[in-house]
Amino acid sequence: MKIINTFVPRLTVFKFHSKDELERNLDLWADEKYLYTFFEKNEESLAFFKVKTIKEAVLKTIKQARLIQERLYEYVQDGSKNLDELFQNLDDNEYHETILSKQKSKQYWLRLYAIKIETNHYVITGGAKKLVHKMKQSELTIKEKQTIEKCRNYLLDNGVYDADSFYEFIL
Amino acid sequence: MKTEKLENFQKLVSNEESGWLGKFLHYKSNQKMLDNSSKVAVNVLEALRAKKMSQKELAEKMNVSAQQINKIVRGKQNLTFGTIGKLEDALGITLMEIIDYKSVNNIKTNAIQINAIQKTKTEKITLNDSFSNEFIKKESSHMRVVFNVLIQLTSFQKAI
Repeated sequence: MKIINTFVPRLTVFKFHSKDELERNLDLWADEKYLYTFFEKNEESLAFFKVKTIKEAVLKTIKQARLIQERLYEYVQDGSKNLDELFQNLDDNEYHETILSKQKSKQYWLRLYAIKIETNHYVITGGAKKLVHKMKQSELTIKEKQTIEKCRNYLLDNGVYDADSFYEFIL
Repeated sequence: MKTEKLENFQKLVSNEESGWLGKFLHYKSNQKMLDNSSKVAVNVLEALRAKKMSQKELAEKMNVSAQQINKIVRGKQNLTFGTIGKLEDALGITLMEIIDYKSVNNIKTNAIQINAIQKTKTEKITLNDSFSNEFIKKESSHMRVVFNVLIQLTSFQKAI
């Protein structure tokens, strides 16, 4: 398990395999064959999004993934842009600040998952195509939920907390 | 000022950098080719599904390797006319059409004609209820077709 830079200032990413999680997910979201097979298996979920065909789902995913990259590229070019605008709490009902809070970045049904180190500093843990309402409803998003938890524990084990906030956390 | 948390975090970050940006810049500089290649890939996958044909069968029909088909359906191949032709023949589909050349002057004239009609339509509709009769009388019979389309468009907008 490694954490590496993304070229976007203050945004880092976990790397578990030969590719880091940002590169790996963006590659998958640009792979027509992979996407076609994925949506063939999940065709029944498309109606909720008013997407009529597998072809439409594939082309939509590719387009949305390009938009994510365009957006990230804006952050590469302008280092002063605030990353807090890119991410939001993973749990929509979470309103208070928590230590190393779990985050998501949404682009249609695409998600990048991350952990907020502190204001304007994030580390990406993974990504998914979220075709279900709750993360626990799909194997893919369940796995991502487990990964984000594993990464958070890794950070805590390596002292990524302030003594004061950690004291509050364990109380 | 750096917090203790941030300092501890930065100790965990290696000097390595993500590969996403290099790939994105490659896409930006080859956008047209890669977008077209992507559309071909999806159309080939659609045709394979409709014809219940495997990639292996397609490769055999085209007399190419299975690896080449795999590259095509992953949308990363800079396809030649020859390969596109083979794909079209093997799948019985059209992937590419060459549009006849039209000179710029010709296109401009058409655009001006369209603008003129649109202007007439807008002005007459807002200023004069008897627009339809005058319009039909003035123009030759084939303009009736244009007029009917305009009326349909106007009704559509009203319906919205």
